[in-house]
Amino acid sequence: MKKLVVPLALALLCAGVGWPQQQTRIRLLPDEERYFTVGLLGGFFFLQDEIFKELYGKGAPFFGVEMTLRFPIREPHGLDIGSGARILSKKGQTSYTEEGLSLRLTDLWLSLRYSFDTGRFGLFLGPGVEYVLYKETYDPTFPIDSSNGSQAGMHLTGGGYVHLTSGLSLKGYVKYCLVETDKQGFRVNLGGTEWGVGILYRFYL
Amino acid sequence: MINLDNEHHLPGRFGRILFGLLGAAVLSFGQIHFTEVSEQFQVKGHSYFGGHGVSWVDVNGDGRIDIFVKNAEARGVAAVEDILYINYGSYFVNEAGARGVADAYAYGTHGAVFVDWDKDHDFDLFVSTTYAGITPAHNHLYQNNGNGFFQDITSAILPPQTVDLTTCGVAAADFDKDGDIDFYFSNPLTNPDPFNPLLSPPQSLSNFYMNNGDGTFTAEYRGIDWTGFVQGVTTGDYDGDGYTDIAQSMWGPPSTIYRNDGTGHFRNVGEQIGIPVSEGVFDNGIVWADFDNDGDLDTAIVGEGRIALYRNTGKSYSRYQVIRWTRAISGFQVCFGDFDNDGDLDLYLSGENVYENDGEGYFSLVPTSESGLEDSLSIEDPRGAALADFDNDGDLDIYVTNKDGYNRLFRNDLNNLDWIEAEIVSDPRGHSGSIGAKLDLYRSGHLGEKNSLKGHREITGEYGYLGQDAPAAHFGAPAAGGARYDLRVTFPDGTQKDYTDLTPGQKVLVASISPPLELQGRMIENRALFYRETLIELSWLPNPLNNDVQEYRVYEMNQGQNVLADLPATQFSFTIRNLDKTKAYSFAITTVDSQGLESAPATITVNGGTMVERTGRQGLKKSLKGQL
Repeated sequence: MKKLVVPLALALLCAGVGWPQQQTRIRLLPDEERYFTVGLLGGFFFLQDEIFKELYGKGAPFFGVEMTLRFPIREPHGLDIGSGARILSKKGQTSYTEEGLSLRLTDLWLSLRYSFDTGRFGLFLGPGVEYVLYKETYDPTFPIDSSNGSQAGMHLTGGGYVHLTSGLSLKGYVKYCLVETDKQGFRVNLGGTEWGVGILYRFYL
Repeated sequence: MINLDNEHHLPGRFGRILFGLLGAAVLSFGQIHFTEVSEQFQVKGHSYFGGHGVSWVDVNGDGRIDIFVKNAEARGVAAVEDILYINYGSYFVNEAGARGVADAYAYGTHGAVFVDWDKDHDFDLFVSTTYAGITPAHNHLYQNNGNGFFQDITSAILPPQTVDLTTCGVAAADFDKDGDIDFYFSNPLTNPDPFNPLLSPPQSLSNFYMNNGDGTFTAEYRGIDWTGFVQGVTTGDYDGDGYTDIAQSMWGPPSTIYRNDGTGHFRNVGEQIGIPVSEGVFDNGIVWADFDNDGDLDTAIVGEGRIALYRNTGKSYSRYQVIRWTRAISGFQVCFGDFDNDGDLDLYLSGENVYENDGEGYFSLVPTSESGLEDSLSIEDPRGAALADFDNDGDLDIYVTNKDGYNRLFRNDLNNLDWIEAEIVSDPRGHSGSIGAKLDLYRSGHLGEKNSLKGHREITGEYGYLGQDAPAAHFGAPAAGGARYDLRVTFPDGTQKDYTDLTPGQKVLVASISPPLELQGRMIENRALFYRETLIELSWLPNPLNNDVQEYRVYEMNQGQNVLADLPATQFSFTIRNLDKTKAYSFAITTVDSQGLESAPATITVNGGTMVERTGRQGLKKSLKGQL
C-alpha cells in the first residue's frame, strides 16, 4: 500500500506547486471560503494480520462517518482537519475447532491533511491518529465468551473530491493504518489498508 | 367317600413322588453316576477303530463342544482319518473331511492340540503324524477360518520338515513369554525304538516350533533332549514362577518334568524335585492338577498298571498314593474333574473307573454299581480320554478312545447347580482358551486368601495320554446355605481379573479386555484473533484383540485419576481443551467391555514441546460439541 500512497502524495505536491496562479478557473465553490463538511463513508478494509486472514478472510466491509474543517491557505491550497469513525464487523471460524467467531472493530480517527482544491476537484493527503476498539465474541462451546480492548495507532490517508454542487461532494480515498496490540500476550496487527468512498455535505463558515 | 378314597390313594402317590424326589436328591447331593451314550449321540468312532486321543473343543463357535478324535494304527487302513464330531445338540456328525482336518496320513495321529495360536478367537489345530515306515510323516498346522472349517497352512508357516517324525504327545503354550503360542512336539526323529527300556544317549534335536510373532515359526532345540520314547506330554506351572513348564511320560527313561528357566529354555528337574527316576518303566500319561486344593499343581503318572500320585510340597514332589487295578490294562489316561461337584477333583482312569477324592487328595474307588461305569471296564484297548460338559448341564462328561473297539461317551447324570464354570473367551494377548491361565475359586469375600481356596485350575492343552479337556475350568461349587464364590483369573501374562459374589450354577465368560493401541497425544494451538487456546488431541486405534468393546474411558492423571469422558466404542479420538501450553499433561485410556470390565490403561504424557499448529479439520467442530 505504501507503493500507492507515496506516488500519490508526490503527485499532489507537484500539482499544487505547478498550478498557474492566474489561470482562469471554473469553480463551484466560492474562493477563500472556510467550510465544514460532514459525510458518510463506506468501503473495504484489508487487514494485514495473517491470523485474521486465516480466520476471517482477506478483509471486511465497513461504514463510517466523518467531519472535516477546511482552512484555505492560498487557493487552491488549504489545510483540512478531519475526524471520524468507522465500524467493521465480520464472522469467521477458529483455526482448529472451526467454532464460530465474530469480530467488531470500531475505529475513531483524527487527521491533518494538506488539500488542493480547484473548486471542482480536490485532492488531499495527510497523516492522522487512530484509536481502535476491538471485540471478538465466540461460540458457546469455546472456552471463553469474548475478548475486547482498545489500541491507538497512526495512519496516512490520501484521496480526492469531486464537487457536485457548492454543497455536495463525492469523496474517494485510501488510508493506510498502523495499529498493533500485544495485550493478549501475542501480537495482533489491526492495521491495514482502507479503501473507501463517501458523500459529503458542506457548510460554509 | 370321595375324600376317603383320595386319602387312601394319597400315600401311594406321595410315596412314588417322594421316592422320585429322594432319588433325584441322592444324585443332586453328589453321587457320581454316568450313562454310556455314544450310540445315542453317534460318536462311536470308526468301525475300523484306532482311537488314540481326544480333544473337546468348540471349533465352530456355536457354544456346543465338539469332539476331535485322534486315530492311528487302525487295522487294515493305511491312511487313518481323524474324526471331528460336530455337536448338533442331540447328536454329533463327523465332518472332519468336509472341514479339512481328516489329516489322513499313513499310520495316523497320536498327539494333537487345539489352540488359538493366531489370536483370532477360534481354535486352530496342531496335529502330529507318527512315522511307521511310510513317508512323509510330518506335523501339520491347520488354521480355523472362524466357523470350524480349516486350512492346512503347514508349508506356509512351519519350517520345512526334512525328516519323518514319530511324534506322540504335543504341547502348546507361550513358553518364552513373548505373548504368542509356541509348540513342543515329542519324538522328533524318524525311527526310535519305543520298546527300548534303556535310556538312550541324549539327542539335542529341534523339538520346538517357536512363534516368531509374524505368523511363522522357527524350529529350535530348547533343552529337552530325546532320551527315549515319549508318550503323553503336558504343560503347567508346577513351581508357580509364572513360566510354563513341561512334563512328559516316557517308555524306558523315567517320566519327568522340565522346568522353564524363564526364557523358554528347559532343564530336566525330575530327579531333583522327587519325580521317579527308575528306568525301564513304560508310562503312558502324566497329568498336573491340584488334587488337594492348596493352590499348586500335584501330579499323577499313569502306566504299568498303576497311577502314582505326587503331592506338590512347594519345592518338590512327594509320592503319597499309588492306585492299582485288577484289569489287565496298562493305563493310559487319567483325567481329573469334579464329577460330583463337591469341591474337589475326582479321578477317572480310561477304561477303568472313577475314584472319589476325600478332600485331602486321597482317592478311593467308586464301585461300578454306583458309578454306572461298567461299560468302561469293557473297553478293549482304552487310550486317551478327556472331559467336557458337552450337554451344558453343569457336570463333566467323559469321552474315551479305544484302539481296538468303539469309543465311549459317558454322560454324567448329576445335574445339580453346585458348579461354576469359567471359559476364557479372550486373554490379554488375544488368545481364546488361554493356555497357561490359572483360575482360583474362593469363598465369597475371601478373594486371595489361601485358606478359603475352593479350587485351583490351570488351562492346559494336551495332557495325560493325548487327551485335551474343553478349554474351560469347571469347579464344583456347592450352593448349600446360599454359598457364593469369588473367582480370580490370572492370565499367562500375569494380569488378573476378579469376579466376585458368583452364585453357583453359572458359566462365567472371562474376557480380558485389552487397552487401545497406538495412543497418541498432540498439543495443538486453536486460534481466534484475540485468544489462543491450547488443546490436546488424543487419538488411538481399536485393539483387534477385543471383540466386546462397550466404550473407551479417558482419564486425566495429573492430580489423581479423574474420569474425563466415557466415549462410544466407535470414537477413537478425544480433545481436552483450554489447557496451559507450558504444562505437561498425563492421560490414560482404557477399554471397557459390556460386562463393565476395564482394560489396563494405555497412557501418555503430552507437553508443550510437542505443540503443533493445525488448521481445521472437517467435522471436528461437530464432534467437539459433545465433549468438554
